[in-house]
Amino acid sequence: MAKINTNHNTKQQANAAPLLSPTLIQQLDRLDLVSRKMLSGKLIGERHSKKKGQSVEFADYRQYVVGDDLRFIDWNLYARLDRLFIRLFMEEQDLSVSIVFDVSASMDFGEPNKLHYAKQLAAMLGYVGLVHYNRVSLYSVTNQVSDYLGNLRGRQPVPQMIEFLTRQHAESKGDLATACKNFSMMQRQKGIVILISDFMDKGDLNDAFRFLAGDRYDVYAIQLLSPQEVDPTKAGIVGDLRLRDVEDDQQIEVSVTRDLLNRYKATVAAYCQHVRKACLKRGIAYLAGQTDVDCDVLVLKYIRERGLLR
Amino acid sequence: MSFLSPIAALLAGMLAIPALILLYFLKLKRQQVTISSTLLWQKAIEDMQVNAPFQKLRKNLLLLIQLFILLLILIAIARPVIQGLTLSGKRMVIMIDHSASMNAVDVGPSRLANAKKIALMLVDQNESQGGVMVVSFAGDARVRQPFTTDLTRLKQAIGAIDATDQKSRFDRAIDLLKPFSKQQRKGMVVYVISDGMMSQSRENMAPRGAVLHYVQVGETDASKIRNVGIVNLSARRDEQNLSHLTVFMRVTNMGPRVVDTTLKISLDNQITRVLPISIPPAKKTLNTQTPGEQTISFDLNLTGAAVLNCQLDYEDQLALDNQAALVIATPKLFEVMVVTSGNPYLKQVFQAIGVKQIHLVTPQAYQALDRLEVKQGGWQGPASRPIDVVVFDRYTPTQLPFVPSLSFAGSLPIQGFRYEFSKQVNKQSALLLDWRRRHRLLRYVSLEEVRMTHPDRLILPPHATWLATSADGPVMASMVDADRQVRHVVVAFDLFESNWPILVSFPVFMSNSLQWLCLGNQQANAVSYRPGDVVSVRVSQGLNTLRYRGPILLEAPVIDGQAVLPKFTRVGVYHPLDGVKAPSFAVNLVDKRESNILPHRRLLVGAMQANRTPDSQVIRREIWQWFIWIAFVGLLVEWVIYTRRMHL
Repeated sequence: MAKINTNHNTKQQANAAPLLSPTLIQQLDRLDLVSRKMLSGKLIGERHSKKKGQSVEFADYRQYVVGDDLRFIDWNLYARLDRLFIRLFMEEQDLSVSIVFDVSASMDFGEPNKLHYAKQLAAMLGYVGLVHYNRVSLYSVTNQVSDYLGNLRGRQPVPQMIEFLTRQHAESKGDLATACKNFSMMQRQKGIVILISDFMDKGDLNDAFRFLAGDRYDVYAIQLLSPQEVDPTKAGIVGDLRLRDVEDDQQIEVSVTRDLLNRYKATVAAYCQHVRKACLKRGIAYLAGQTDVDCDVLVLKYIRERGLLR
Repeated sequence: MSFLSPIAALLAGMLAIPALILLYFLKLKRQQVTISSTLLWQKAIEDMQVNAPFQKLRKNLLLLIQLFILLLILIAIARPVIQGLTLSGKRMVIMIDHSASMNAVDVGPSRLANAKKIALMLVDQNESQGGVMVVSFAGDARVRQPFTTDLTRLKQAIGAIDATDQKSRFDRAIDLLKPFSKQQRKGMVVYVISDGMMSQSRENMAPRGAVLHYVQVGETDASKIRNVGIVNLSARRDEQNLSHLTVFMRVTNMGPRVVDTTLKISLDNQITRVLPISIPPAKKTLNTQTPGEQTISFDLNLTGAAVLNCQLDYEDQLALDNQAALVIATPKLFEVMVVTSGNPYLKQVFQAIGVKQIHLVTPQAYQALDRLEVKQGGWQGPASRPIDVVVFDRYTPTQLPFVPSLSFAGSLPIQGFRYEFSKQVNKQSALLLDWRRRHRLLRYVSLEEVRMTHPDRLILPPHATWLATSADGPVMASMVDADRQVRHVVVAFDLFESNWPILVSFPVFMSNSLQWLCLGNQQANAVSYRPGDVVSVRVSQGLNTLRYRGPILLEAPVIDGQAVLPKFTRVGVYHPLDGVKAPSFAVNLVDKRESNILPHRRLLVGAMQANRTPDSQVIRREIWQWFIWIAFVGLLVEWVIYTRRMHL
């Protein structure tokens, strides 16, 4: 039984490459995660929260009631209106960042390997979140949340995050809907959710996305595909073959002709469009990437352009 | 179209077709490949099946092509044939011409090879139970294989037919058939495979009950014929200067263009001269093509004997007429004894011809001479040289001389020979009706103007050869003395009662007579033979077999000092082997008809003519090769379709 693209040494080397390099860290230090929605956090962080609290930034007025702090009475307003009002300020709270990455068997494919790429991506985004004192949680999912590392803040847990990511390996079958349901039950905190997957799910994606839709999460979906999945000829898939699905062991016999190949490529493009539409329908930001694009390019350029980073 | 082997094709098809279909639909052993997900592949396949029209047909297109290829191969196995005459109930005779013109290479490898191939095909397609006979004909006709149904024997007989350089005598081949055609109630079918270059047929030649088909071989397009040939070669010594030899030659050109070439002349294989020659092209008339001709003559200095060889340096379709040879003997002057009571004609003619010496002897004096002394010398004293020939004029010797003799108006004491003197009183002029023009004695001798008064009559023995006849019978004949094998010629009229002595032909005849009587096969003037000629050679006693080397080896037993060589079949120069003192012979084609290699469209057979039967009508042609070629094209198409599908 042949597995496509098993240049074992190259794969090992690719997988052994550090998830975060010093050069990259320097670049990531300048970035910050941005939420399209202002979501309340637990602790005081570096971003605005909907809650009114103590800060230097004026937010609103309210009528004075007995017991309010007299320091916040706006005397100018009293002079004009002859009534007492309290000045309110924006509460700066921390942002919850959940990085959910797919570790189903289908992710362990391609050259460069999708899983390793996903780990790199998760490490980079997680780092950005951590250095700005956001609460970063990492979830590896297959047909459930298979592993979890949560509530990391600051620079100190960066090695811990790296170690967590490094030990993740591809497991068997994936079920995105069940995984998202599990996640939503685990993560009650509002915040950013970054979902990294190939979305090669034989179920209905809408079932998965509905657990992420709503005001609670600001979801970014990043679909990763390997060059071999986009163009199978790069993996030498030609002629009469029996293709075996790595997750559910399904086998189909194909005679890969030029017509079929063209049809396949069109199907890939159509599927990506389908995923995009499904995301947009749920207010999920969608970004597709191929693993032959450098991860730092994806993060520093494309993800920034999408608005997740600034 | 019919099939020669339908059962074989049926059996092959019963095995091959199901095997092909079974193999096609058996699952291919596919390589298994693990991929991330079959999700998109499945969608793609479903999409293709829904959107692409005639999917099933396209999927099975290769199978259909392969079945088609297999069908073509099966048809080829069945050996399909088209056209042809199927013979049943009639015997078949295949007559193959292997004369000189059949050596032409205008159709490769030669016309004879082509003819044999056609004959083999006729044998294969014959379905008659009566059998097939194979006859070959050139100078002679020969039954190679009597009627038989044994294909192996027939094919062997056909294969054994060798090329000859003889001219074609079709009449002799027809003569062979006549006994067989009389026996056949149902008649015979005769296939004459030839190029039509036959000798002139005689009347009533066609055998009864035989249907003749003429299968022509050779190039029919006159513009593609290319042949030059020597059609005449002779040489003559100057009687006044025997070392001076004049050679006469005539060459023809059958091609449509002028041929500029060279003539190589050699004596005893040493090239002495190279002459540039230009031969005009053949002229096309309404029905025939007349070859272009060029006459060439040149002089040579030759005191002794030699083999003269003339060769045209030109590559054409028939090589054997490009060269000719002459065996030139040492010139000899003769001692001639003329027994006469007075005949100035004889004296003058011998003086004109040039003899060593003329000895005029009266009949009375001759009677007293000893025959042996005449032959060996000393007949008139010790100084008397041997006599080469005795000429009797109006004298009948009582004993036959030991040397060759020529007699005018007198008999010779030869057993079986009678000379009847004419009893006519009135002097009525007679003329000669016929003479053997090709006899050496009468070569270049025209007797049309000869008139004689009441010629005598010759009653010839069986072995004699008449040379000329009048209305009353032979007036000139040659005979051989049975005991000593000496030649004698008798002329049955008085020279004084004829105008012959004053005609040009008389000295020519006398010169020929001297040569032929005295030298036999050795001639002062060079001669050559033709394929089909027979020569006899006198050899010394004690030799059992006489052998000659040349283009082929000739062997003949020696009986009583004489060997009769087999008929010449190949042109060339023949020399005696084993150091035997015997003459050499030059055999040349020198035949204008055989050098004209444009095949005839019609075969004249007696009063009928058989038109050329296209061999495509006569022969069933197997066409299996075409099916194989189409199958090969089909394979290429299949390959293209397969690679186009697989090429990404």
